[in-house]
Amino acid sequence: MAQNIKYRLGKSRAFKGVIITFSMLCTIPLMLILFYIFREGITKINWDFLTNLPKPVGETGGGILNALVGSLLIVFYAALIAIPFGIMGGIYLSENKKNWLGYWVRLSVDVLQGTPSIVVGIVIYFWIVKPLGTFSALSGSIALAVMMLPIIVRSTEETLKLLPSSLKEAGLALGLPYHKVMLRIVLPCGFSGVLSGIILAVARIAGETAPLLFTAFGNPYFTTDASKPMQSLPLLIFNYATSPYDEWHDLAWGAALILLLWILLLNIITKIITRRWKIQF
Amino acid sequence: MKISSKIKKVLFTALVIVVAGITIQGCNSGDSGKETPGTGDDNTLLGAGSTFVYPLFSKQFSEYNKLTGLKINYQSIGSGGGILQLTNKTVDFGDSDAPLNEEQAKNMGVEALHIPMCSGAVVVSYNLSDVKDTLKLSPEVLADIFLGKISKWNNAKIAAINAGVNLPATTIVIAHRSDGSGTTNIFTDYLAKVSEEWKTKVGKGSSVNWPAGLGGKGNEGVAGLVKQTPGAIGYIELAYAMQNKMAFAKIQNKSGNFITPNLASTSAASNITLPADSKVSLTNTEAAEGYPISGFTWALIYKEQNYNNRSEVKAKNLLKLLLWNIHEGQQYCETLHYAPLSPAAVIVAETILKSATYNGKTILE
Amino acid sequence: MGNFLIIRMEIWKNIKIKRSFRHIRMEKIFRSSLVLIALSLLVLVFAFMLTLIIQSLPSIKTLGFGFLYGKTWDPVANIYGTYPFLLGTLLTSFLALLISIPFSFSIAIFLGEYYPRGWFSEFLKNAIELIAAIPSVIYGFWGLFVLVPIVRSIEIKMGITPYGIGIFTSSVILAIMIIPYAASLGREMIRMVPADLKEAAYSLGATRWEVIRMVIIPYSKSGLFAGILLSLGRALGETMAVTMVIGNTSIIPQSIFDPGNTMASVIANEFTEAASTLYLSSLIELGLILFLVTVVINIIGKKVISRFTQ
Repeated sequence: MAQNIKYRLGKSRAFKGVIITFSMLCTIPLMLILFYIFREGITKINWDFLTNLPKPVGETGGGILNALVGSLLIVFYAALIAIPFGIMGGIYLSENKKNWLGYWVRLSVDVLQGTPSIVVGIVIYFWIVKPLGTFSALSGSIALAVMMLPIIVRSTEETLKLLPSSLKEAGLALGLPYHKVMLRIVLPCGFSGVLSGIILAVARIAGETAPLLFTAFGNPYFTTDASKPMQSLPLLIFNYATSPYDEWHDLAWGAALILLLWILLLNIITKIITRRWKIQF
Repeated sequence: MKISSKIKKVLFTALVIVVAGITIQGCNSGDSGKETPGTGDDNTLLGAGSTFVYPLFSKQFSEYNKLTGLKINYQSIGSGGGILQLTNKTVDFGDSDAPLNEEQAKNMGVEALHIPMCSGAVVVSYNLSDVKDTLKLSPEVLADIFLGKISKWNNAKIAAINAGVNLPATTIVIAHRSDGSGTTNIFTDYLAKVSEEWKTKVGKGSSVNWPAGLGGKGNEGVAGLVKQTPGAIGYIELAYAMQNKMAFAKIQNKSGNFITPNLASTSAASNITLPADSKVSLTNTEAAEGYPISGFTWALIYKEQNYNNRSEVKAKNLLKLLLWNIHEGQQYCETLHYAPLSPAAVIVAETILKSATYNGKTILE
Repeated sequence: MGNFLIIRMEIWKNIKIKRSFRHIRMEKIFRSSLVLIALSLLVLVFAFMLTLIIQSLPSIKTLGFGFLYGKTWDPVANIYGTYPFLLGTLLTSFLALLISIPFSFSIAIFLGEYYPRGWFSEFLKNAIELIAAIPSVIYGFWGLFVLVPIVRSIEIKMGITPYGIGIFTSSVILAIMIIPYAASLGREMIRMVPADLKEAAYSLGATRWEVIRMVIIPYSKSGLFAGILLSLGRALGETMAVTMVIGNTSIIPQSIFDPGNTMASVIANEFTEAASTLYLSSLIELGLILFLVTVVINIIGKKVISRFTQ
């Protein structure tokens, strides 16, 4: 009997050990990736790297200014397109939990969320690039906006659902018009949730490469014109990483570190926001 | 209240900019209805295509930019891609290492001009760290390797033509292009000429169904694969191999000589009389000192430059650029290991270039 | 003076009435714009599907079902069979799942049951979120320069062709990338197991392991299953990391160490190249299949979750 209990306890302990080991092991690849990118990237980054354009093959030096600015612009435009649509869509879903349109919209948001990024790229190529007759940063932004939409819609919806309905009812009872109640009372109360959803969405798409392959296309020159092809960090990393030139690998490592830092920063901001503006009722 | 006013501001600005964005986009699509130039203002040109010529173009265009301020954005997406994007009119010019085939020409609808830019050699590069001597390969052996029939480096057939070389017993890892490519076209065109089995089993084209091996995207991709994989063999452009200090084999040509690919042997192969349309294959050359796997790369433009309501200035810029490429631009060929066009070829290229028109009128005098 | 006041009040009233009319109008505009945007989301998805279907019509018409089981992909001869890519996609995705499940479930149990709080759990939670946040192109880049040489040296020891890149390598990369999906969902589900159920089991003398095996896992199994589905959906559609390390060849892989191709990587490699109509529409049909498969998997996953949480 005592032996049996000992065996069972031992088994329990062994299982716990296994779980802890496996959990620890998971962090190893992450550490390795972070370590490697930092080690390779940090030596490449300096002022010249950030303020110069890439050099032609065979010439050393050069920087990633065009990709840096391009990436920021493409993501910025994407956010501008996606945020209003996403928030309005989220408000609609939180207000219409049961009707048929709500059901189908929720389903289509799920579909969008599951759509592989490469497929988004193809469709936007046929919608924007081919009819306009040119690759453009704007088409890249639209592709990224499509990928942001489901995240913003879902986070807005979930946040607004958490708010007590008394909040809305009190506003309406005071005679405030519906849009004021939604935009000035309900939405600000869920500010942290909505904002962190938006920042997470930005963090998610900042590193997307596949939709940009057939839309933003890349550009060796500096440009801020959204109707032209534009370089972006992920595109640059992909193109330069698969090349055989050591100088280009260097550029890619530096760009990878900058992209990583950017995304880390966005994630940390999200954390701080959710912690500071915790919804309290 | 503070937060809500912030939200309002954010929302408002966002809305304004989105509306602005949509109007701009609306204008753009309206414009494209009226057929305005897709590629924006006249000071930029967009090109896409061959990765074969990319190192040369990136140098030439960077120099041309210093001279004239014209910005040329060339993306090396592969010859097939260059043709497709020109067909879709999303670029100003394409570049391909293979002339248009019938279907491609038909898809384009209107006549496209082939302007030879330079010629280059496709080298067979390998990664055998222990072999110091330069390997020699005969056409039969090369075809057998890429057919997957010779799978070890110390195969008797390879040893027979490389007497005295200590070949390792490792597996041969074949690297080829994963994308449509003119480099592949030159290489498979050569194999199809020298091997009946290759011709029937695989055929030639810009992307083929490879019997064996790994795919890499672009010349860069294949060079990367060969460089990183011990025992690998792959075909890449000479410039890529030289720049990356990769070993490449001497290939036996039609006259029986083992030829090292370099400028002289490529020039020897390309020193032929060009036909008027310049579409010619250089592989398996008759020249005794000519390297057998080489070919031209062609810039592709529409003969009638007034399409999509492009401005005449833009068309002129494009033609001037290409004219500069075949004249002054040729000086950058040699340092990057491309064979410059022969004087006779330059004359042919110039004639073709001058046949381009805007509204039916010639652009260059 | 009195008159003046009355007049002022009249004006004031008018303004008020006008303002409330404006409010009502605004309200209507607001409501209808909500509906409009909701509708546009729906239309967007339908248009997506429609575009894919229309663009792939040529290949659907000419190739029919042969497209799915054809064993050769040969753009020169205009033969398009996607069997190698379907196989490659399934192999990489399921291998990745197989590798990642022990890890993600361990983390789910670790954070959900053993250590829901504490600095290490906090750290682990953040680390998992970080794994999900790193862009796939960076995974591919790292994989190409760090993981590939490791796999290659293993392959040399095993005496097989040392490609380095291939299905196995991409599965490992994918496995790392999809850990967070099943892990965070599993953690939520395990936390939702009612305490009285667990306490009842403890009071009967069950050990921790027995509680996990007989109470927690059976209770949360549909949630864990949903986590697996979502991971699978992500693995199937993943493009960049896989494209960079899978080897890009259309030959049917003979072993998991062979190079191959997935549906997504074929599209990424060949989409800008496809110069013939049939070629292009075959690639788009691949995209359509990928779209449908991931959509179905995701919807099933979401349904399972919502049933579980309600």
